[in-house]
Amino acid sequence: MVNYVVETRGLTKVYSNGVEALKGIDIRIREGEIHTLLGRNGAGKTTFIRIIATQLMPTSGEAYVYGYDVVKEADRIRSKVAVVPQESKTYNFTTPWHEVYLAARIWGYGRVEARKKVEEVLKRLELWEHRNKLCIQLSGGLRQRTLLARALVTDAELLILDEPTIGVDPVGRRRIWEFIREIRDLGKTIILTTHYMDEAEEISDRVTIIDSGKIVAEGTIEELLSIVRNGIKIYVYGDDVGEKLGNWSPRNVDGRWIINVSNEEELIEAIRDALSYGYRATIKPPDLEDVFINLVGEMYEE
Amino acid sequence: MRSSLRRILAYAHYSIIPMIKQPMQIITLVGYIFLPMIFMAIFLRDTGAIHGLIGVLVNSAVLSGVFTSQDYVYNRIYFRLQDFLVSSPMKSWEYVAGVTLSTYIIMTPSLALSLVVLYYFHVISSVISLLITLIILLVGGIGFSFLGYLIGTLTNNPTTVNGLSNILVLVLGFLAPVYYPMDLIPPNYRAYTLILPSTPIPELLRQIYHISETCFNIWILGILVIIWNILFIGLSIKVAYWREK
Repeated sequence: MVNYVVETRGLTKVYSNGVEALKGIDIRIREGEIHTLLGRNGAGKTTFIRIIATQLMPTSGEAYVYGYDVVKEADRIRSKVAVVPQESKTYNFTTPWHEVYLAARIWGYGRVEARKKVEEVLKRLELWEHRNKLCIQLSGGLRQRTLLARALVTDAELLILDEPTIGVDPVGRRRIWEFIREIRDLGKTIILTTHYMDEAEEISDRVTIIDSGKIVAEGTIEELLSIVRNGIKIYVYGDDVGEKLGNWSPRNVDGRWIINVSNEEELIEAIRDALSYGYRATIKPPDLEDVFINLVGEMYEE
Repeated sequence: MRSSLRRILAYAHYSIIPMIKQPMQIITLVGYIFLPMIFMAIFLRDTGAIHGLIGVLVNSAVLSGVFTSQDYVYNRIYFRLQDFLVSSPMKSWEYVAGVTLSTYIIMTPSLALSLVVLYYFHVISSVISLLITLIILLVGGIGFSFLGYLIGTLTNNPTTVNGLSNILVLVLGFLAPVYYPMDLIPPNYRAYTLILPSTPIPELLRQIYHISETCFNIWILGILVIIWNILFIGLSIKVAYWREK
């Protein structure tokens, strides 16, 4: 039997300035999975997770976390959830130790137990050697990891991470992905938001694509990729591609030309054409970005 | 109750770490609060020093509450710490208590120093006198801490809150008769200064220490302090929010 950690029905949020951030969200998030909310900036991801994290009141609809109503039973939810809010920061003049120790104490650990927990989590996230450094001296990746540690030390069953890798360099992002997977393997449920396609594809068990306050698609990566199963892309590099390969309707995106083909025959033919003009061509299998563009429209790519 | 106390202490401890890591900040803060008192001592000798020390007491224990508004705004807007805390077992009142406690801890050096010097001058001459002083400061401090919370809730811009709290403390703590006695104000204008929420507290202390020459009734001053407290607390409860609407 599948246990759902989060369930919402017809969830809406209209802000006081009239902005309709959520337009009837129905979602079910399973226990023990990494569930990613993918969408553009302003799509409604943060509004959604702020509601389920009991930081924001919904306008209408229902939302339950571990079966508790987010409006009426927020206190019960708060002991089971830990959050890394979007663009949250550590204080400059605290240390990773103090940041994480605060969370351990707030979640009710006694001094001795809190120290043990902090040590364990800092070691797990490879922050132990940095524990006494001022946060201002840490790299963006280490600071972000500190915030992750602050959420992890709580032993909360559900971790909500809002854009956890924003502003982190590529190597740092990969380390954070590894940690998120490790946390999932400890039996936690993780909900994260991102607008990075590669991040969603790399670490998610399931993905929900949100756009303009509505759910556009939901499923595993495989299920989502099946939407564009035949959408093979060929990248062509060179001058006058638009003119010479005009019969393939290439699109210029960021200085490179993209040709979409739907089967092997077309693929071979298009590549043969491109090579005949001396162009360089590479093939890319469909990915989440293609799914996203297919569902949400070309605007994102442009 | 025990877990509430734990959370309050944990937050207060966390919140003072940046000050402990920058001890020069505490020295600057103490110097800033004592500066008007030093000028009072230069120009008015012992009497000026005593009045100035009362100003130090009130500024340290009471008006510092206004500066907590900066904590609330920065924690909510810049650090996003409030979002983290809202989704935790911490209650809003525990958070306010933690912020207030941390401010008191930071102000302890100037508070203790001024109490010791007032004792040395025999202004605070008994344990009862000391207790009454602490109770007045505590009651006043609670009210102003709620004022800080109120400002912090109503302000969404860190730049605005910095300016606002500094101007408020300048008016309420330095221009108003806090460091200097109300006797220095022309008699016809003295009653008007009581409109300011910071004025009744030092005047009450001066009346208790028998160093005021004004004829305000001690009970009226006490009632004024309580009225301001009720106003600040009431407004905070009505306006402030923990979970965003």
